[in-house]
This record gives sequence, structure tokens and C-alpha cells, in this order.
Amino acid sequence: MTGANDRSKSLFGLAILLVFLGIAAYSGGRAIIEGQAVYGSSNLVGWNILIAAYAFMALTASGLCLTANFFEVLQIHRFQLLQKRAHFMAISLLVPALGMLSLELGRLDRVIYFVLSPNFKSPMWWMGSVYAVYLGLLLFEFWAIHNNHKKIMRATSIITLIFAVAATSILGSIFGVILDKPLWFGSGTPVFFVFSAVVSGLAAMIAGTILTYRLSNETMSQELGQALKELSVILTVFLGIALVFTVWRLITVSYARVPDVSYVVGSPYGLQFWFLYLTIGLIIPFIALLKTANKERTAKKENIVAGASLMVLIGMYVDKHIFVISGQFSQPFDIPLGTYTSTFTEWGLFFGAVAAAITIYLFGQRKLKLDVTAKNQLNKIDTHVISH
Amino acid sequence: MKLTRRNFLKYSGLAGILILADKGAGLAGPSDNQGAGETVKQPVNANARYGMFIDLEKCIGCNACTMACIKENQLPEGITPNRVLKMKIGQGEDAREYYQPLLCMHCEKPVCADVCPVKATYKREDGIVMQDNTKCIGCKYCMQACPYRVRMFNKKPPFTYKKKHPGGVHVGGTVIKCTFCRHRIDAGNISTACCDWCPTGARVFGDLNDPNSRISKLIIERNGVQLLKEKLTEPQVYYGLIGR
Repeated sequence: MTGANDRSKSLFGLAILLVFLGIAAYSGGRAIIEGQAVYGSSNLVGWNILIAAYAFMALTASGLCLTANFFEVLQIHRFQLLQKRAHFMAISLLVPALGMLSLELGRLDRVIYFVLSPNFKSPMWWMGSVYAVYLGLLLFEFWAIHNNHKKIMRATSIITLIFAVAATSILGSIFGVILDKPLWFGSGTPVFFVFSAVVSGLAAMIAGTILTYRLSNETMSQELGQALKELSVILTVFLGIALVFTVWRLITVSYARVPDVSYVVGSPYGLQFWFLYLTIGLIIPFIALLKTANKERTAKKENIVAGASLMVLIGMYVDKHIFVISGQFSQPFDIPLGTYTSTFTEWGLFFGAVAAAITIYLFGQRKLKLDVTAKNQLNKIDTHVISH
Repeated sequence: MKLTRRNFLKYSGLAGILILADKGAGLAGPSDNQGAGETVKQPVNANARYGMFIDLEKCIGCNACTMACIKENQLPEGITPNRVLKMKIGQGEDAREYYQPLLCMHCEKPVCADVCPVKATYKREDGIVMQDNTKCIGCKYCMQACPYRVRMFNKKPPFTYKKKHPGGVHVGGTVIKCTFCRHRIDAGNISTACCDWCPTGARVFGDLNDPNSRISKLIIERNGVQLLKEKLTEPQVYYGLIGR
């Protein structure tokens, strides 16, 4: 009876994913055939939510790999249990994110000019190139982990870690070099993107692992549970830093009186900023994680941690949304303020990309044994040899 | 309606433009009917540095320049890289309205060219900032970087919309900008459609490197200023400000 229930739940979940993928395919088809008339962007607000969604997904992917490889490079073994899953999650997120970004390009067929006519001065060229190399490295490193090539894995992890930091900060520099946009400009933007990537990556790693075990009705090992507990403590610390950052950002901008800031804390994005980003995305998860930090591992506690991590992910997306869109509102001279209304097509593509990421991840979970790490395999091999 | 000198000039100018537009004849002379790449091109004059002077005292806001640009470059509907803003100076009873034409500043240090990932935007030796629509990937990064908001995105279908015009080709899903009517310059006619159509002669186009050119003299006479100079892009369009 339980088996039948699980089967029907799985089919229901699969059906929902297929619906979102179908909507995304339809939206993508419209964007290719009809052009960007299907998007809500305009000449004044040229970048839409697909850019915000790409930034969010790419940063989360970088954060996953960055954190996992950091632990690998430092040889903190208890976190290596999460390494394989983190890498596959990063791949699952990055591939649909790049696909979604390509649909934001007016002429995606001309991407070949990135190779034929590169402009080394352009941060966007560097972003595209570094992310392409980074994806290749991610796939290679995953192959090494999957096939238990420990030496290759160790060497690659250092290179991938460097590329993860580079890709993330270069993505930030795309916005950071625009002198004309006060919300974007500055050397702090790339650093903020790296920090944001780590927060999103940690949250995705925690939520993804707990939900995978919940949905597959499997019991988590003691070591994995302990590793997640420690990760949630690290996430709590990072959320605390994010809160301090946000408070200081508010204080400094209140002195600067830059009009752009009023779009974030006032109209039109005030509600999203105060409620979705600050309250849902930072304060509630921070308190929830802080309260569960010293408690024994229980199913209820795991649910709270997973829920808090999901809230952090929502907050991180909202942050990118506000950052990208409100940064474009201000206009020079007496040009009226830019306005933007997202369209069904844009949301269809975003949710489709998320559905594609989940589908790829579920495939990996079923076929690629994501809970087996190289270290586990090594131990098994050692045991096997000794027993013979 | 009160008939002021300004209004008289504005409406009579506009009426004249509409008549000419209806006839399909420009004021620009023989180069107005050039086809795409049909004329014998002259090599780019590397010694020249083309720019524009716009006298705000003379601009009456008739939008003839906008219409001229649309016609000359056969722009898709809704695309106006050359437009006129209605501005206000002073406060209360002293406030005065004026018009400020806005177009690509053909900056000496074009940030749009710096950020273009595929070099679709580039600067010619004669100072004109160009846009290659056979290469543009439509990432809109140049639109974000431009401090003047004078770049427009062509939202037409990317794979089916392609329209040749004297200055090149319009392609769906790419960015459109002012080219200082480079096809005219390449054919030896050193003038732009917007300058030719302006009924009050508010716009003057020419070589900034030539101290004896009309534009160079006007910039000195009228204390020509550059917009948003603090953005450090060194714009090549100068404005003669209005008096009180």
C-alpha cells in the first residue's frame, strides 16, 4: 500500500515537472519565433527577470561547488560526504541556467562570435567564457568523483575552486563596472556576489540533501546528519553577516540619498525587500537555525532546517530580482522613470529552468549514486581487499 | 492659442516637414537616395573627428530630426535613437520650458564599445561609433552601459526580420543606434539627415579637428558644453545652452 502511495506521489511530482517543462518549451519557442516582444523589458529597463534568475541559479551553482571544493582542498573529511551531491546539484543548476540566459539574448545563434570576435575588455565576454570552462571543469571533476580517481579529483578541485570564485566575481563585475548605475557600480559588487553565492550554495546543499532523503524515504547516516548540522551552523553565521551587511547598506545609503535606493526600500520594491528578502530570506531563517543549532537531531529539526534553507533561497532570488530590475529604473535628464512588468513567458522560462534543474538532479539521484563519495568507495574497496 | 514667435516657428516648420516627407524628398540633396552600399564609398577620413553642435536656443521641439532619422535610416516602428526631450529650467513663475535633442554622443571613450562582448560596437577612425548588426548578439549590455539611454532594442522577430537600409541592415533581436548617417559621410556628403531637416538650423554637423569648421567656431562662440561630462566618456556632441 505504501509502495503504491509512493509510486503515485512520484508520478504526480513527475507530472508537475513535465507541466513546467512544457510551459518553458512553449515560452522558449515563442521567444525564438516572435522575438523579445514576449518579454516585459524595454529600452529603459533592458534586462528582465531572466537575468536575475540566471544570476541566482549561476551563483547557487558556484556556491555549491565553491563550498564543497573548499572543504575538499582543506581536507575536512566529514563534509566530503556531500561533495558528489553538491557537484551534481551545481551541474543540474548551471546547465538550465545557461539555457535560460541564451533565450534572453536577441540572437542566440550568434554566440559563435564569442569565439570569432572576442572583446577581452568586456566583463560579459569573460563571464561567458569562464562559466563555459567552469562547467567543463565541473563535469570533469564529477566524472573523477564518480569514477573514484582520487588524485585527479584533488587536483581538479583546486582549479575548479579558483574558477568558481572567478566566475562568480566576474558575474558581479558585469554589474560592477557600470558607472551609470549607482546600485550596481563598485568594487563591492563582485565581492557581494561571491558572498551571496556561498549563502545560496550552503542553503541549496542543506535543503537539497534533506529533501532528497525525505522524498526517497531513506534514513540519513549519522555522519551525514552531523555534517548537515555543522553546515547549518555555518549558514547561520553567514546569514548573520548578511544581516550586518544589509543594515550597513541601509545606513550608508540613507546618508548618500541616491534616488535609486528609494526604489529598493520604498516604492516599487519596498514590500519585496522588507518582507521577502529581509524577513523571509534572512531574519526568520537566521532565528530558526539559531534555535535549532544546539538541539539533538530529530525529524522535526531537520524539517525546520530544510524549511529555513528554502526560505534563504527565496530571499536570495528576491535580492537578485530587486538588484537587477531596480538598478535600471533611474534615468538621466528628464526622461521618465523606467518601468517594468514581468510577463508569463519570463516566469514560464524561469520555472521551467528550475524544473529542468530538479529533473536533472533526480536523474542523477537515481542513476549516479550521489550519496556515495570517493572516500566511501575507497573504504569499501579497502574492506573488500582485506576480507579476501 | 497664443501665437508666439516660438510657436509660429514650431508649427510652420513642422508643416513644411510634413509636406516634404509626403513627397518623399529630403532636403539633403543627391545623397538622400543612396541605396545600401550602392554608391562609391570614400575611405574613412582618419584625420577627421566628426561631432555635432546643437543650439538649444534654436530648438523648437518640432521633432523634425526624429522624423528625418526614422526616414533616412528606415527604422522599425517605435525605434527613435534620435529624439527630443521636453525640459524645464528655473522654478515657479521664472520657469521656462525648452527642448533638448538627444542622440548618440559618439563618445571618444565609448563605454558601449568597451562592454560589447563580441565587438559589434566599435569606433571608426573618424570618431563615429558604429553598430554592426550582422554581429550583435542582442545581449543589451551596451544599453545598460550607455549613460545617455540612446540605444534602442529591435524587438522584431530575430530570424525573420531583416531590413536593408542605406546605412546597413536592421535585424530583429539586435540593438539600433545613431550612426551620424555614416552612409552619407562615406559617400562624401558631410552632413546628417537630422541636421538637414532641422527647420531652425539648431544642429550643425562637422569636423571637430578642423578649427575653421563651422562646428568648431560655434562651440567656441556659444560655449558649447557636453552632457554628463562627469561620466568620463568624452561625448562629441556639444550643446549651446539656453539663456535666461
